[in-house]
This record gives sequence, C-alpha cells and structure tokens, in this order.
Amino acid sequence: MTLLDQRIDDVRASALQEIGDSKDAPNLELTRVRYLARKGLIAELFEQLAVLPADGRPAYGRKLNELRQSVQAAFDTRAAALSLAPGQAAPGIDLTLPGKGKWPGSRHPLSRTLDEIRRIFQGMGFGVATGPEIEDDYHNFEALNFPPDHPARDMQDTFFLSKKVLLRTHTSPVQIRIMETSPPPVRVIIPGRVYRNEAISARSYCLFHQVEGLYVDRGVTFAELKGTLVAFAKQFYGSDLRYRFRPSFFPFTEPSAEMDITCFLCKGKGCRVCKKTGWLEILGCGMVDPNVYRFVGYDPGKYSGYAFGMGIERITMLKYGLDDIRILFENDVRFLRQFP
Amino acid sequence: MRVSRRWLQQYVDIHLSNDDLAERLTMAGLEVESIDDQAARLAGIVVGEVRSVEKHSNATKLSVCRVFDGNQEVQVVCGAPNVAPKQKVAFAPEGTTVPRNQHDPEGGSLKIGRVSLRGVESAGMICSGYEIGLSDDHEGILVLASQARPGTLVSRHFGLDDTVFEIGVTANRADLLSHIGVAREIGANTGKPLKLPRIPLVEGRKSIHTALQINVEDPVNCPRYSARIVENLRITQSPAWLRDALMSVGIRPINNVVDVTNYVLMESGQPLHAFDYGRISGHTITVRTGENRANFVTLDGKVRETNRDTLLICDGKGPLAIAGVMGGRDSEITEQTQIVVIESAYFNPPSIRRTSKRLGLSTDASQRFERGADPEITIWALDRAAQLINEVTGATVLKGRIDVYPRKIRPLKIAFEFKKSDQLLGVTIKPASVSGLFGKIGIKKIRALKNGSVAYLIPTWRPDITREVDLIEEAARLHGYEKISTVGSIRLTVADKSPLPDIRDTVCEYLSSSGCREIITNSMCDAESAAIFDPSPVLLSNPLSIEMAALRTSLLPGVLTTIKHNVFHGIESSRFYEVGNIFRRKPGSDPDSLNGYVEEEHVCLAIFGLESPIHWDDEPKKSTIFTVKGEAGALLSKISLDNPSYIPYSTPTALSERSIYIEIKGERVGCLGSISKQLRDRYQLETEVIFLDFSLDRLRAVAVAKTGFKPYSRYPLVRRDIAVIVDESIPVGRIEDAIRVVAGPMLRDIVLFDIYRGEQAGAGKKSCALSLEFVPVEGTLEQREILELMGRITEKLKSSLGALLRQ
Repeated sequence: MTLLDQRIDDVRASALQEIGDSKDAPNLELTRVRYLARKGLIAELFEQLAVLPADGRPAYGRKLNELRQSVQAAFDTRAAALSLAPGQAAPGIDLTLPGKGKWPGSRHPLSRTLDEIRRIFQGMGFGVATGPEIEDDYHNFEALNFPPDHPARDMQDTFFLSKKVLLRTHTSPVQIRIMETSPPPVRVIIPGRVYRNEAISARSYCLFHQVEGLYVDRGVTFAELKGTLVAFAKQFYGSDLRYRFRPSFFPFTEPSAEMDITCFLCKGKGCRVCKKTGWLEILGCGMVDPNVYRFVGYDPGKYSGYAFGMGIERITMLKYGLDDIRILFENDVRFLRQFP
Repeated sequence: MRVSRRWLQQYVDIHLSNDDLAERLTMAGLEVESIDDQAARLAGIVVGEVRSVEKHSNATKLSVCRVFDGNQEVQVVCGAPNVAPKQKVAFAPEGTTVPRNQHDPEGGSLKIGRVSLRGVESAGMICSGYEIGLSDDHEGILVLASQARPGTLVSRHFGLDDTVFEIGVTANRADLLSHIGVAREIGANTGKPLKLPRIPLVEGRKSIHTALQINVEDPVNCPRYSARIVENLRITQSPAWLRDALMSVGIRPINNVVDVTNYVLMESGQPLHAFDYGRISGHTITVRTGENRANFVTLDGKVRETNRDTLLICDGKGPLAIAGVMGGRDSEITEQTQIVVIESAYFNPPSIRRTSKRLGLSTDASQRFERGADPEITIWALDRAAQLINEVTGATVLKGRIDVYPRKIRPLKIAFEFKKSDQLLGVTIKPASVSGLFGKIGIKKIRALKNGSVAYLIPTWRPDITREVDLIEEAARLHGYEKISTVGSIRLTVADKSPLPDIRDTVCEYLSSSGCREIITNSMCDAESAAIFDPSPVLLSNPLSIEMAALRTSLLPGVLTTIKHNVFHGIESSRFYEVGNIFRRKPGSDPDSLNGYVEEEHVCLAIFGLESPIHWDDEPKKSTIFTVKGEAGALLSKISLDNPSYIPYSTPTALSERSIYIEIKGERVGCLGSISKQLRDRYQLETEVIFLDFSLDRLRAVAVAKTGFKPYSRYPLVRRDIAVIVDESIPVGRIEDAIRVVAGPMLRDIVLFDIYRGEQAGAGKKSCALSLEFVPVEGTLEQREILELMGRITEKLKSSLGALLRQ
C-alpha cells in the first residue's frame, strides 16, 4: 500500500467519523468545509495526482473520485437526517424497507459438541484419528479383550454383515488400529459413528457417535487419567463442576471407571433427568488392560496408558435439554435453525 | 439384579439410610439404578371405607361414592364397576400420588387433586391393584379384607416396609447376582461381618445312593454335579414369607419346591433345578452333549432344537433339561410330584453361553453360569435347599448326597507387587491396608514373597480375578477411587504433527456459512434405495427392520428424506448438506474379510426452491444447476483446488436428468446434477432438487498441502470485452477454452456477462459477451500488445469455432 493509499483511507475514515459525530447543521457544515470545499482535504489530495507517474494517475484518479463521492453521500444522508424530526423517514427513500436476506446456514448440534470436545483435547496435546465403521470381530472385540463366548459381548448388541465382519459398536477398535501401526507414545482422540442393534426409542437409536481417547506412554497413571478428564470436564461444563469417579467394568481397561458430574438441571438435588440420583454419567474410562497391549505388540512391562470414551448424543442432549434422541436425526429446520 | 433390603439384612447389619446405602454401593461399583421404597411409594394412601354409592346423574359408567378415610367422609367419583358400599378399599386422598397411572402408556405416576368429573366434585381416588403396584389388575378397584381399619396406611396394612434396590451388575461380576454377594460388599464397605445362614439339616434314614445314579460323560463342560433327593412331598403354594421374598425381587411364586430353589438362587447365586424323580427313567441321570437336530420341549412349552454342542441332563430315555439354561416340561414339578431330585451343578461358562445364545434363551440360571458360578458352593446350596424344603413342606431329605467332582477346581494364587500397583494408580496404598481391604471380600493373604510381593488366594466366587492387574483394580476400588488424587501435572506429550485442519472441517465451515444447513442422517436404508446408487450394496445379516436392511451407498437417501420431511412441514426453499461415509461390497470378494468392503467419506449438498430469500427489490429466482455449479467451484477453491474440469453428461440416469462430473488432475472427485423425476417420486418431491456430491477421500488424495505463497503481478489489470456470434450448438466452454489456449498465462479470468439470441445474432446463432481480464506478468501492458493479443484471439475463434466478432 502506497502512502497515497494510506492517506486516502485516513481521510475517508476521519471524514465519515466527523460527519457521523456532527450533532447539528452548523457543526456538519464545518465538517463539509474541511473535507469537501474547494480548498478542503480531498481537493488537496487531487492536487497530488500531478506529481504521480503518468501510468499511476488513472487508478488514483478513480480512487479519489470514489472517496469524494462516498464522503459527499455520507454528508447528504447526515444532512437529511439532521433536518428531520427523529423517527421520520428520509424523503425519497424508505429506510425501513427490509435489507437483502441470505439463507442462513447452520451446524448440526452434534458437530458443535464434537468440535468443542476436540478443541479442548487438542489443547491438551491430543491428535485426532479416525477409523472404519465396518470392522472385523478381531478389532471390535477380540483384541479389546472380549473373549469369544464371554457375556461382556452382550454389553453391545451388534449388527453383523457376515460371520466375522460387523458395524463397529464403539470407536475403541481404532485404538487397536493406531497401536498396531505406531509405537508409543500415542495420544489421540478418535471421533466416529458407532452402531448398536437396539430398538429405536426416545432414549436409544440404532447408531450414535462417540469420542474415544487414548494415551499410552511410560508411567501413565490412573491419577493422571482422572486429572485429564477433570480438566476436560471443567473446560466443557464450567470450573465449579462437581464430579465423581466410580468403579465400572470394560473388558479393555483395568481398572475401569465411569465419571459422573452433578446434574446441572437440579444441581444434584435429584430430578427426572438424573433419575433422582443427582448425578449424570458422562463417560467411561480406565487404564488400558495389559491383554490389549499383548494383542498390539506393546510391552506391558514398559508402558501404561489410559483410554476413555463418551457419547456425543448423550452430552448434546444433556447440554441442550433434549429428551428424545430421534430429534437429532430428523433434521427438522425448526430444530436446526436453533444452532446457527 | 433386584435386591431387597429386608433380605440383605439377614446376612449383614445395615444401619444406613436407603440413600446412603445406594451411594455406598454405587461408589463400590455396584451402580444402584433405582430405589423402590414401598412405604414411600404408597405414602398417604390409606384404607378407606365406602359408605355409600350412588349413580352419577350425568355419566352412566361413573358412580358417586362417600368414602371414610379414618378422619372424615369425602366425596369421590369412581369409574370402577365393582365398587360397592361397606367395601374396604385403598384410598388415595387429595394431595397424594398414586405410583402408576393406568391411563399413561409408560406407567407414570398420577398426582391426585380435587377435580370435577362431569359436574360432580371428586377429592380423591379409590385405587386398583395396578395403580398401587400390587397386581396387574386394573379392571376394577382392589377390595381389601373387611377387618382392615380405615385410616391405616395401605403399606402397613400389607406389611410393605421393604426397599428394593435395582443394581446394574457389570458383566464380570457373577458373585453380585445374589443377596449374599451384595451383602459381602456392604459388609466390606461398612466394616460389618457377613453372617451366613446356619443349615440345621435333618436327614432321613434312606440313602440317596440306592435311589439315584449320576454319570457325567462330559466333565469338561460339567466339572461338578451334585444332587439330593427329598421325598414324601406335598406340592402346594409356598408360605407367605417365601412368596413375599420372591415377589419383592420380581420372581413369580410357583409352588413350594420351585420357590425354594429360586429362593436359594437369589440368596446364594447358585442356580438349582428340581426334577420330578418319578419322571426320571431308570433313576439314572446322565450329563452329556446332545445330538444334532433333536427337539426338546422346555418348561415354557416351546420346542427347542439341540445339537452336539448342547449340554443336556438326560435320563435313560432322553433329555430332561438343557443344562444350566432351562428344564424340560416332561420332568417339571407338578401337584402329583412326591419325590424330587435337586440338582446343584457347576457348568463351564462358554458352553452355557453358546447354548443360551444359540437358543435365544437367557434365564436366571444361564446368566449366572455364563458369567461363572462358584464351583465350591454347589453343596452348600444343595443342603440349604433341602433344609428349606423340609422346613416348608415337612418332607424327608434322603441321607447323603451325590457329588460328582472328579477334578477339584483350586482357587487361584496371585502375586501382588505393591510398587507396581502404586505406579499404575498414582497413589500409595500401604501393604497392610491392601491386605486388610482384600480380607474383607475373602481374598486371603497366603504369604510374603521374596521380592516384596505378597501372594493372595482368590476365592472361587470371584472368577473375574485372574491376574495381578485385576487385584490392582480391587485395591483401587476398595480403597476408593475418590481417594486417588487428581492433583499433579497432566503431561503434554505430543505424539505427532497435528494434521488439522482436515478437508472435512473446511468443507463444513464453508457450507455452513454459505446458507447450508448441516444434517446427520441414518446410514442404514432399505436395500432397494441402496441399489439405486450402487449395484452391490452392503446388506446386514441381522437388520432391525426392512427399512434398515442395507448400508447407504450414497448420502442422497438421507438428504432427500430430510427434504421430504421439511417440505411436508411447509419449508419451500432450503439447502442441506451431510458429511458421512457410504459403503459398498466388492463383488465376488470374501464377505468375512474387511477387504470385501469399501467405505468412503462423502459430502452431499442438495438445494431446492429459491436461490435467495424473497426481496422487494429483486425478482425471485429459483436455484438452478448453475447455483450448485457455482457452489462447487467456490468450495473447491476454498480447499485450494482451483482448476476443476466440469464434464457435462447429458444422458439422463436413474439418479439425475442432467449431470456434470467434476474432475481434478484426471481424477473424478464428484458430480452434480438435477435429481431425476423418478427419484423425486420415491420421496414424493415435486420441487426440483439440485445436488452436489464430492468424495472427501478422493479430494484428500488430490489435494496438495499449501507451501508458501506465489509471487503475483504488481501491475494493474486490464479488462477487454468481446462479443462473438457462434452456432447455437457450440458450448460456451469451448469458446473459453479456445481463448485460454491463445491468451496464455496473462489471462487471469474470463467472465461471461451476457448471452443474446435474436434477430441481430441470426437464426440458430447466439451472441456471447465475455469480459477478459489480463494481468501482465512483467511490466505494464501496452495498448499495442493488447490489441495484438485480442486480434489473435478473434482469429482463433473464427478459425476453430466459426465465430464472428460482433461489432
């Protein structure tokens, strides 16, 4: 940008500012003289054209004309406004007419929740990875320490495509895929769509979305898992959050836990949403089971790590107070427009 | 698992409130999902006396009753056909809450207020058995015994002072599927000892060994089989205490023998089965696997097919029961039964699970066996059942028991290294404290080992503890997760360069800020819809419904369904997009290998209705294929893919009437078009719908990472307009291509600003007005150079397209 460009911009900015600030007609007239009169600031700028190289003149001439017109227009509008009683329209043009509209776009609430979760974990040094929705039994179950013929398999009703190929029931198989291909340390979150063969109702849908987390390194502890998840929850829900970790069971973690936070609807008093417990379960987590390391060829004597997983639908429903999961997949414009 | 507080109290002293007990259990990993406090549930509902009943003057099915609630007489409108004067009834006065509302399909509660029913005031309700949760009868009101005293709480009248906790038992804990198991945890948590019931068993003189023979042919799947016999039985209804105990945990009482076996099951977790001795042919029980395709009728009257993997309990003629799952109809206990054989066995968990899964039959017994019952408890449970049957029925227990247990299952010994545990948990728990905690749940310290570890003996009721890490979890659980500090540093390990922003994020960001609404739809659809977009869709083996029998082969079904839904709700214009995976099978490939499936991430945009909202200063314009083509170009340039080729494809397909394929570097990355009438009809759409579809995976493959910036010309651009008349058949794209070839790198852009057809152009001709923008690569463009360039361009247009320059 040349000096002249800079000067043009400065003059425009100060002229518009002063015109806008003029409280009455005499004041406005002073401003007009300063900028638009024959010896005004804009006229001065035109005089500088003469000293420019010939090939630059037309372009600057255009710019200066444009400057003069815009300042004049602003002056005219302001002058008209000052000569009228407040609330009356300017003559000739009805400024109460609506402006040109644009179709509003929107982001699905599930994507918003995921973006927010992702942002927080990325800030804590987690990368992002994804994996296939069509999985084999090995990655979805076996390598995650679900033995064949074990009741733990009933925890997740599965859609099968063939005897050994299925729709993944959780994002955890991506843990296996990552550890199979990269040596420790790994520190990733894994968002994705998962499927459960469950009847569709207000509370459950045949598919939903999860965010999985995995950190494996030397000397990772359960205390660090707790610390990380508390840091996440405080950023997501607010720093005055109350939480608890209680023992649970997942075949691929040992010890396993579920994390609850105080129900934000009833503040822990007990309501319909938290089933009168005062607590809301938000995620499952635990220390990666040594059997999993054996499947992926990590040395359980050397490394330890944690994994966690949360349902994006559940968190979104809690966040916005939705009581029917199906509304998320119906995509009614009256719903979508609430998430601009 | 439902556990009754009254029942638990037999095994451990509990001094906690219901809420505190639930809290302790939950924090110990026994998540209490609900608390059913019978007295609280029926709070305020009292015995009432119906003093008078008169017909409602304005409703044939209603009567107006006067009910005495112990204090006063209240007027109540009642719809039950069986209401009559002098009845004692369960009466819910104004202000109380009836636990179940029979008009609510979800069985919600009902708050009783003062209402006017067809002009008559009603200040309370006479309840049915259903409404107060005592039976399923909601045809009429529940009539109480005539000696009931008005004003007494109904809960007290029925002795309902118990609390039932519903515990979500995790899949690894077989031991918690019993009252004793839960009591053990409560004791460990509160420091109270576990009190097991004494079994004062009185045996008769006759020995079991002369009456019954047991052969276990498959000791792998049936490691232990124990039995007792009880004779001189009279099968009747059980006494009230037994019936109440079972009902409190949701089990229907059947008869005194079956009720005892169920009671012991709920008490100890050991499944028992009672056979009618008279129906056991040859008085011999054989445990063996079945034959293929044999039929067997189970207790529930259903015909089940057994196979060589099915473990069966058989007599001399054939199967009596499917081991560990369900008994047979032919040997069940009937009113005629005089002698019973009580079975108490330990079956191999995977065997029971396979059978239960294959038959689709999950029972209280199978659930416990497949998680792993306690092989050491069979005899205890057997004796307990025999003693209770003797107590309840007065029958005689035969002397001795049969116990086939060829290879004793020994409890595991596990070495525990304290340092390792502390390292994994990030907290120090003192060795003495660990041993103390373990002792409370029956894990005994055997001895200290040389390296500072300690060997512990794992009780047989905890088959889930097989490794050191399982013990570490127990240590953490019993110590309390809340005592493991979260204070400390979270390390910031960076494992790899962050790959973001991904194309997916950029695409979503662009579309959502260009007036498009992101949607998320089901990735399952019907097989027919899937076949429209790909000849080999992926089909599900066990779909939820026909509508969800296949995986989507395109995002269009979801997008079109969304348009259909919103058009139906009055939306006339919108733009929807979805990002998601589509799937197909590789024809002829192995369905059991992942290589037989293709999964690709796509984005699909569909537009219908007006291009922009109606405005007073503009003519309303409908979105056209060019609206979408413009979006396609803008989207691609957003991800720095600036030179797409648009390849028109005018032949209509099942999908679209006209389409344009989009290629980058020779790779087809997407297409756009107008949805065919045929496809619109499927979704009952009358409006034109234009779609755009990109494979994000293919865009990622052709995308180039931005490195640095390109120097750009510092000189002003020069614009020249040109109008050429060509045959109607010549596409504008060819004119543009011809200009580009001649103009070379100085040409920055071509803007088509008008197309004219009419007299001045001539019949069968069109006049195209184009504005060409030149940017000199070096130095200012001289007038002469431009003239010369324009001359070459017109020459080329004339020679290759027969174009005339319009003056």
